[in-house]
Amino acid sequence: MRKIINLIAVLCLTVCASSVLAQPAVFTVLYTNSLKGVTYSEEGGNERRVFAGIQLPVDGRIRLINGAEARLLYKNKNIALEGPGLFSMTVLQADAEQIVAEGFLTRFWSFISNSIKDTDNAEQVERYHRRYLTNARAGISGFAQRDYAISAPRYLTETLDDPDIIFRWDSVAHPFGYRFMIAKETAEEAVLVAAVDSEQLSVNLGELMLQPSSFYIWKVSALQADSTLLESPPYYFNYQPERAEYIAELKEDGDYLRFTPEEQELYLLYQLEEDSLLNQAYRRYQKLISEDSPAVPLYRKMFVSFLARMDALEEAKSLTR
Amino acid sequence: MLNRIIQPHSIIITGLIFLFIWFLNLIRLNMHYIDPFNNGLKNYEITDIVYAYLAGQPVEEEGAGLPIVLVHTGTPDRLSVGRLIQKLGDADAGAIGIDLFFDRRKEPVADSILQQSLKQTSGVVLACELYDESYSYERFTDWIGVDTFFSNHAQLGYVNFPANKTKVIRLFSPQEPVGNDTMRAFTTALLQTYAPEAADRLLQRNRAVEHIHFTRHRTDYVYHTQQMLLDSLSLEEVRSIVANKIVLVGYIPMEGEGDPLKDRHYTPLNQSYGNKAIPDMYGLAIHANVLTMVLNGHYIRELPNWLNWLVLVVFCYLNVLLIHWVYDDFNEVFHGITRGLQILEFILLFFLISLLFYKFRLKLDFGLGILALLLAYDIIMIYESLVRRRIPLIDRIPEEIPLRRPKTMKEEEEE
Repeated sequence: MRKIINLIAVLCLTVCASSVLAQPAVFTVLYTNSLKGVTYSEEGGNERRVFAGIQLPVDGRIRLINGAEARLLYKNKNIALEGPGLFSMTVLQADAEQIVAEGFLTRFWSFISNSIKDTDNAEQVERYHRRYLTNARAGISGFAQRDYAISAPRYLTETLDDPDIIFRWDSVAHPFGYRFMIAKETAEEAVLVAAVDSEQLSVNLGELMLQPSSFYIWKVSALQADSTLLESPPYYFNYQPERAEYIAELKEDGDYLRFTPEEQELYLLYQLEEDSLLNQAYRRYQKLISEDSPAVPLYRKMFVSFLARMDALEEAKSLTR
Repeated sequence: MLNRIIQPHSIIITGLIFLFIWFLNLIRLNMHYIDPFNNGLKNYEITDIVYAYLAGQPVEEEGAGLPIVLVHTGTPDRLSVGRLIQKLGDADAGAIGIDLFFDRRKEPVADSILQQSLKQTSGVVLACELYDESYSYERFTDWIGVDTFFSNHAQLGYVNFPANKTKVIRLFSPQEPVGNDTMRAFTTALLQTYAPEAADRLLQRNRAVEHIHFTRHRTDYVYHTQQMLLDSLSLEEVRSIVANKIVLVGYIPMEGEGDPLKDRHYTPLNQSYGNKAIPDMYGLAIHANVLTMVLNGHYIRELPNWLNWLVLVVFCYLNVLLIHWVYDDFNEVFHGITRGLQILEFILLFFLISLLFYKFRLKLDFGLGILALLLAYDIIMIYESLVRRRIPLIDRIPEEIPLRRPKTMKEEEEE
């Protein structure tokens, strides 16, 4: 008899233990706004990316970088998460368990009592207009450019013709270094990713097999100690090495030939900037101010002005000293 | 007891109330320009409040396991849609509903790729629109919205919903006669591919239209963008999301993105049920709600017409009895008691109708009952102070029907 009781007890314990240990996937991911910004990891395991439609077990953590959003479903409860943050699934589970959904009676009573209280009509709005003045506004927030923590000069955008480019950006705190990335405009997959310690990186664009007809972006980010991410905006460029010959084409132009020699150089600088060959214009300015010519002070002033237009204020300042 | 319930005058008053309602119905005019209240609530039903305020979260059984994935295309180009269909097919999607119109041929390369992907992928349903050239409203003459270059290689389903000028969508028709054939709705066609038994159950109900049981917003479904599925996720990852599920592809941007009025409609979930509000639901989410309802078998129930009328008449008669009793026995405070009773009954009735709808999805058409309750007070007053006094014949009708023959003097003496 005792053996039978022991057997039953062991069986019960096994069933209970297996039900506790085999934790089912309880969280369903309904939405994420970013593939790279939301990751999940179990204790001691690798991080894996999180996307809508998958299920996540309860023993792990979900990390969202700055700007990332996710919506999870747990036992019929919608949980909205916003980055930056590291969220323990067990804590989320406990929080969700504590949420007690209002019953039908409570919702009904709340509706009835609100409908008794909410008796605002047009006449009341007119009489007590200040009470109602903040309920509506005819305008929107937005359209202004987002503030980015890292900025870079504009002459590293638009059409790049030189294969050897030094990408540079402003300095921010970077305890884990900078992450530099070049990617095709329409794709998430990067063409080049590099970890960098300083505020610049020399890249040979000719080795990256970039298509002249496609636009690419480059951007820099720096992960902070508190998991936030400082970023630059995406800088758009396309690589057209054949545009290196553009100066030669301009020099055959009728307008160019009509100018005086002093004016011709100004025309070239103007036209390069006008045709979005900003990097070529930048290099030409550098070349002109390093020459031994009486026009150098003029070119220097023009270069400072050009750098200011290119949002490279520090570089412009250093040139004026 | 029975003679207290069956009272001839109350029966006459009940008859008068329904006669008056019938008369009002006869002379109903379209005078909304002097009746903003009626116009504002033209498309209001009590159950709208249940949807908008009382329904709460969708119940567990309709939750995580629901096999529907929404995919937002943005401004769709045919090349990308073709690639998407191909990828979804390769990832073993159970059924693919494309809620986009491909009504002309545009770019030969993109069109060919889209056509090729339709040829190679089974279970694709394309959206089309019903067209009635004859305006007979009995049989549609044709469908439009898809070029035969594409429609020859996929199933079609119409995406029309019945709605009046207020454009509130609460019904859907599972199938319609088109030409000499019968065409399925977009959702019915998807169900025939994905869950034929559920589609059969829907069609066997043989209803011309079904009330849509709205349970979920777009945010309650698994949601992806076309770009994410195409460019960012591997085939295996896409398979983990869409395998054996219904994938609905269309225009459904997240809040604050895209055009908030494009393919967006009013539904009973709109909290501003008196109109003058922003439409609340994208077409794709409406299709998803229809699919959810049919897959779960959660159809909206309605009482048979005769039973509905019986309930109305009994309700009206009991109210007349009650108010009549108050009139006879508490004449001095008749007005106060009756108005109080009416308010209390309104709230109770509203609660009962809401509860029945919420718990059992039973939709009671009780508008006439409420009108009868409103009229009972006035009709009793008119009847008692005018009709009975002016028409002696009516006044001679006894207050109660004598269920037993009254005893004669002789019988009483013998006792």
